[in-house]
Amino acid sequence: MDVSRREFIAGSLVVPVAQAIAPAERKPDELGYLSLTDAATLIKARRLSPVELTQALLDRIDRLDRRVGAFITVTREEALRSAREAEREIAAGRYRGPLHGIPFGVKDTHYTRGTRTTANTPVLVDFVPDFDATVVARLKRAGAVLVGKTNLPEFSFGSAGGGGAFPDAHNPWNLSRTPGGSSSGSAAALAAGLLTVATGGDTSGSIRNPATFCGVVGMKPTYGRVSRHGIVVISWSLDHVGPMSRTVADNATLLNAIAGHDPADDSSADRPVPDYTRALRRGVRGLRIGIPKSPQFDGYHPDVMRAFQESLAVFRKLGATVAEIDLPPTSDVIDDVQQIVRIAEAASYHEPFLTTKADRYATTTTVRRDLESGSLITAVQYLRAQKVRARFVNDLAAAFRTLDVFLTPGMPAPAGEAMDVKQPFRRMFNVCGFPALVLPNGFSTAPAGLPIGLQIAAKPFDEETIYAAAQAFESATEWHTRHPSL
Amino acid sequence: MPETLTDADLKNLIKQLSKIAGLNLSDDRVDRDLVAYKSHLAAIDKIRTIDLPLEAEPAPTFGPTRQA
Repeated sequence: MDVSRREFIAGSLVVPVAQAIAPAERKPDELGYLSLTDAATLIKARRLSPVELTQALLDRIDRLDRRVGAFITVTREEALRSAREAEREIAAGRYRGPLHGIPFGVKDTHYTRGTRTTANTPVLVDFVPDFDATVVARLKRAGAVLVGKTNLPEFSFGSAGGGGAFPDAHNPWNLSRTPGGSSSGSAAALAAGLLTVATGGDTSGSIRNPATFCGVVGMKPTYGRVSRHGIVVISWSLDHVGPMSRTVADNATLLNAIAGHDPADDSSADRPVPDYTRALRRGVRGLRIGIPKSPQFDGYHPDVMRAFQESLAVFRKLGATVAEIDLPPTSDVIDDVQQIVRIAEAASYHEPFLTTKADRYATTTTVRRDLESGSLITAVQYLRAQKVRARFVNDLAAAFRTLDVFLTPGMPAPAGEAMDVKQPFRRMFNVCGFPALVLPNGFSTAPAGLPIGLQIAAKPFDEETIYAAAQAFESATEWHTRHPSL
Repeated sequence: MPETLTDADLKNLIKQLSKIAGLNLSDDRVDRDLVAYKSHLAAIDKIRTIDLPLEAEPAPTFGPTRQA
């Protein structure tokens, strides 16, 4: 039996909710930027209906996504059906937890049962999986509401640009600029207030790059922390799946839901998952922060470096210590290692496509070119890269012994600006598998108004320390409260 | 990348290797793929600058109890 919105709200408990939007005064657009944490509080107290929240986001998508291009597929009917089901369950007293009734999106590499999964390539444009990726299944089990499949470059290769089966996404802060990639649609949708939370994939920085460019929070968890089962592959040993959000707390809540061992993923870690939200109150007093030595920042944009230095000052004021550290010599070749491992594994995954339907790859991208050339790498060359990788992991673990977290800029320059740097500090964390998160830490002045990000990395399976540091920084600043004008 | 290899040498190499890889690339595809292949070879050359002991093992490990 359906529960009307009025009945759902009327049946609510009289519980005061901090900063809650009173139902009578609520404007649909305000729900676009409502955090998961606030939405969950309101839904649990039955002061906000999951249907109202979902419909508000669908309305915003209808109005704004023609310009943003964040979605490849909007699952409107399924979303409203799931939202109504959540509403019924909650009204009946069967509240599942903080994801119940919360709208989410997934990168269109995540298998969704009965809904096309295109990876934005003509090769897979008609592919409809018969099962959900583990991440999607876990979110649905938590009661979350799938609103749509988000945009990406063809097969997640590189940053946004060149299209694929569908046009590129755009940066909501400046629609003429790239949102970054490859989880471009998830980041753009969050920045535009079209989703409450989302997931992305990260093989070369593909969560952290667009999260930085769009001014949102993106976590690449430790390799093995989140299942890769049912995700279109780039590179088995480099691919990561992770949460994207507008706040650190939302990110931690989302990771709680998707982390954990999955027997269907050979690389999944069989170890306990902590409650990441408990780390949010930990603070940073006494935290040991490592940063690269200044020559490593040659070529970085002045606004990025200003924001980075100001961020370090925030952490010092909060009681953390900051020290420069030496990175191992293997870090100088680590992007080359990543290139060879990534393209050799990708070429193996794509072998059936390259030998039977190569003419279906988009002609506007370099994906086919990169894969064909990657097919010619020898096993000895690939294994040499994997040997250097093993050494780098050992070297970096040694460098981390005296640190709790390692800080760098999220990206060397704002979206669309030139980036000719020696060390971008992104791919190294795919190679070693250590966790790394980005969050907003400023805006550019030249050009004006583009988000800048801060990256926080830590030891394997120490996402809690990252969340503690990120939450302390977010609480002391206001960058995450800004939204683009659309 | 070996300095003695010209673009023409590399194109010939790509053509032959593509047959072994089961791709049988056309001349047009070889022309397109050359720049990417040169990038891969340059990366491999940089990786070779790292000295490794004989006992060094690659990162992925085989696990007999894993269930793929």
